[in-house]
Amino acid sequence: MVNNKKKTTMYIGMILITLLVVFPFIWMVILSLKTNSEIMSSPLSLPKSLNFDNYKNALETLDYLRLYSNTFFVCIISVVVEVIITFLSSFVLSRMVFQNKKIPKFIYEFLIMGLSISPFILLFPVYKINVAMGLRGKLALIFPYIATSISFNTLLLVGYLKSLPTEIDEAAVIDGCNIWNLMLKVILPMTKPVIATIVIFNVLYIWNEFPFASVMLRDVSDYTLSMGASFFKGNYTVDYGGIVASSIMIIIPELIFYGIFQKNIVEGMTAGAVKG
Amino acid sequence: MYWLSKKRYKIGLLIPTLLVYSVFIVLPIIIAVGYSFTRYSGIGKAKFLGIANYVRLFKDKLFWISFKNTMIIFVLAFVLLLTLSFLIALLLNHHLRAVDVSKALIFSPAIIAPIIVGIIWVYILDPNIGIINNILDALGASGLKQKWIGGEFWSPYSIAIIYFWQQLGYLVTIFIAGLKMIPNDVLEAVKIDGATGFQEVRYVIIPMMKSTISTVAVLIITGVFKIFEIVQQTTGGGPNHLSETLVTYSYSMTFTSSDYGYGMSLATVTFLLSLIITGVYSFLTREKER
Amino acid sequence: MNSKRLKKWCSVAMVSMVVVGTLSGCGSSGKESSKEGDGGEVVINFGIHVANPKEQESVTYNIVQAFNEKNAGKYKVEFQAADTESHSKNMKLAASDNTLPEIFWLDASEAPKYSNAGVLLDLNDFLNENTEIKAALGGMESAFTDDNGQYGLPYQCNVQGIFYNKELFDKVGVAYPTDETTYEDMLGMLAKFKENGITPLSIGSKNSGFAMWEFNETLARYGWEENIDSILAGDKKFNNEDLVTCFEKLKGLAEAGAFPENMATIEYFDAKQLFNEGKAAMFGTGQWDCAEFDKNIGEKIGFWWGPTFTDSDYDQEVAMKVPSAPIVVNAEVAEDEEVQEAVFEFLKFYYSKEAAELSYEGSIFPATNYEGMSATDTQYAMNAMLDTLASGWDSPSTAPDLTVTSAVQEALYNSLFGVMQETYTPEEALDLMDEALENSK
Repeated sequence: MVNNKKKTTMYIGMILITLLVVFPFIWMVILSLKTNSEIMSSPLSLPKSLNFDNYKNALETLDYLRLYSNTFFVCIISVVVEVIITFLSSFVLSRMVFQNKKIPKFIYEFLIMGLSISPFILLFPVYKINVAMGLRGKLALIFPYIATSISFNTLLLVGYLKSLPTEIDEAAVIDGCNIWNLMLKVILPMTKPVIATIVIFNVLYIWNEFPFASVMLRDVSDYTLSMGASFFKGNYTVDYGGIVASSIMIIIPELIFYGIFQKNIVEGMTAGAVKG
Repeated sequence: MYWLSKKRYKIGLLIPTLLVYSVFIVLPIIIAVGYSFTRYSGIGKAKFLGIANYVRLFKDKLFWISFKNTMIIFVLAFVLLLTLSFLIALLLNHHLRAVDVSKALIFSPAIIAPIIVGIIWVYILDPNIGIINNILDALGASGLKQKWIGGEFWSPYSIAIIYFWQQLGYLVTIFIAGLKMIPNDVLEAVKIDGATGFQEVRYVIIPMMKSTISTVAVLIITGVFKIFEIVQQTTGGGPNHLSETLVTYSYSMTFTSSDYGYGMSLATVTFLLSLIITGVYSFLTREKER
Repeated sequence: MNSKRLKKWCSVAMVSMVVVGTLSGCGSSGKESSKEGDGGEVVINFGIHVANPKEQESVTYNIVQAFNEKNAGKYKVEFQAADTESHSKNMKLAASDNTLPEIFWLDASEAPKYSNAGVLLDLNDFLNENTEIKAALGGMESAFTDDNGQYGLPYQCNVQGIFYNKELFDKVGVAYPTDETTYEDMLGMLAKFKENGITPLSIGSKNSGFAMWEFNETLARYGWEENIDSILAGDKKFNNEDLVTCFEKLKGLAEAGAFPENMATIEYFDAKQLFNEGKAAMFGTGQWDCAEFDKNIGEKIGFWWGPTFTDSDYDQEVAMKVPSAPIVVNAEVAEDEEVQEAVFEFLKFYYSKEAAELSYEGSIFPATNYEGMSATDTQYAMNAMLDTLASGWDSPSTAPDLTVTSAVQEALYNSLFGVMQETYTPEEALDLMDEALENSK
């Protein structure tokens, strides 16, 4: 009986916490169905009628096809490159033998340091570096995105790779594996869950990233999704309904994406972050 | 493994990451720090000032206000996030029905763009149009109404709560993962010994989760020193810069007042603070592990 | 094993080729503005401070459309659009690597720095060639001159003051404000509105320091224009008797409950919404909001310069019809005759009578003054402004907040709102401005 009581408390706790967390979300969906003046004047009330004008307006104002394709373009290239290079470097840092143990530790900490940097310190200098390298438009986003993901990816990957027993490598080497076979055929398959996690976080980051996008992109034809909301805020006008509706349309694919990979996140985390 | 650890492999495999990181993170930081010793408006030539910006910074009342606010957010978010996300993870680690749905929903705030997080919360916390004060009114408890945002007192606390909301699911997920790593037989053995739930957590789970806890702690610390959009959207740093955090204040100096040099000196100090606190934290926990 | 490996390498090679292909393909399309358009016309870029000009700067959009139609096949103007904050960052970065658009909008407090950096074209030649435009501008262009010449021309003309909702005035039984209404009269007005649960003067401070337009008039009536030069030269402080008295008046308004309670968490847009909804009696802004007021308030709208001050020694008969931000031309334009011709043609059109008419249609005062311009009967808000302007008072050559550079301007905004939100005393607020001026020297 005690157990039952405990279970009930747990359920109540779980439902309560979930509701508290989800509530602001629901609130946003409700807002998106209100007109601008309803939002300001009677914030508490439910929308008088289901008003999909905000969505219609958002669809008309924004060229979603282009925004999505730009975002995909930047996202795919950046994520592929950053996963490959951080996998390789993390492999070295976690599994290779260094005579001086301080070296991998130093490089690891050097790479982790990036977590402390807020992106806008980087804006002006990165722009100038991009210009010096002749990178413009969408292309100017790729390297900054890769660079800002390195710290997080290293944190997860090194932590995970260190947790794999070293006997695996030794057995593989005795079987005659060279370094590429060891990395790609033995270690990589075992790293799948944590790579899935990294991919998810990197994709979500790029999807929502605004500071770099707002500075590097000049041409409307290069705009990525996160720039969408800026279309509804002028110097003298603002369209809250439009902002909220366009935000929701940006979130929907993320929710789908997240739904698909949700299992992997927990698995990946199980595998990776814990060893820190 | 030893015989595969050839120098050229190590260098070859590290180079791409180190190169991108050096060019797009380290070099920009060096440039930014360089500008922090100048007067520069973003146009034309920068003028070398020496440490004048840093002297000004320590005399700047608004710097200390933003420092204070950042520390309030840091302490509150650190304590709340570390404890509650751990407790919620313990709860959700049980085999309950629909627990996966709950996990997914709790994680969901982490995927919304931070800008939108700010907008959502304005409609909850605003003293006039926000839902909290309106509900208090409707309940006849108008006396409890506060300027949750936009007043002089509550803003940093509200920011901490919003940040908490945004990060909770993310950290809960990491903790759940950590809990899953504890071998079942260990927990079974503890049960047989007749330990209470509290004892189990205190003497078995927490010690075994040390590394998870420190990952989470590092993510919270570095995260707090990057909070930007939430403040920008809810209070804009106002009234009169009183709810500014280090990052937003440095942004406002850099871009709104076009004082790039001074803004960068603020940014440099913020960056160092975050590094120092992370360093102190790892130092303290490292000592304990021994 | 071998064929498998071959296959793998082939696919890797394919993927990398595709990636490289798309990279280089997009690289060329994303490159600098090509001067030649599809139809062989000369294309010039117009950098503007809103992301969606069609909706947010419709008058300028219409003028550009009209110009493009008229010059199809010859010249074409294309917008480079971004929201104000991004635009301001973008232009700075573009100045650093010579990718500025041919024509662009600049914040008045920032433009002099661009001029000093030598990236702007001196437009004196243009004005001297086009004397009719110079005449139509009527001296308004003088706000944008320095040692480097005529670095910019006024984008539009701002008329700033307080709009009021006549319906609400009638409801609480207060007379409409006039040119003679004093500060003391205004305090009386506020009390009546407060009694009736109406916000007297809507204003928001969140991310909206710039939205202090109605107080430009207040500053002007306490001698801003007369004293600013000696203050900037260091002969005088902001913290002087005149400005202290002036700021005390703001404090008085705050104490009388003139402003919305949540002014700290609402932006200018939200404050405007309160006025649109009939929840606030007055709102300070400029002509850019006319169209919106016509839609929401209609014929019930009135316009007022703001209160006069009996304790001020300075001229109280001051209007506030001032140049808005400048539009400027990239200095590099001079290097290419074709482009320069196109830019000058566009400027000619932009300041023509035809464009002025388009401007009036959209309830915006153009920078030019041509005979016979008027608003239609249903442009209520603009007509209200025209009525007030009819008194023929002189305006300062530049709005007070645009006479100082960005850091001091920010301090001014911060100080005004600080006094209004009672976080600073008038003296503290003015000290902050002196400090900002000191720091920027």
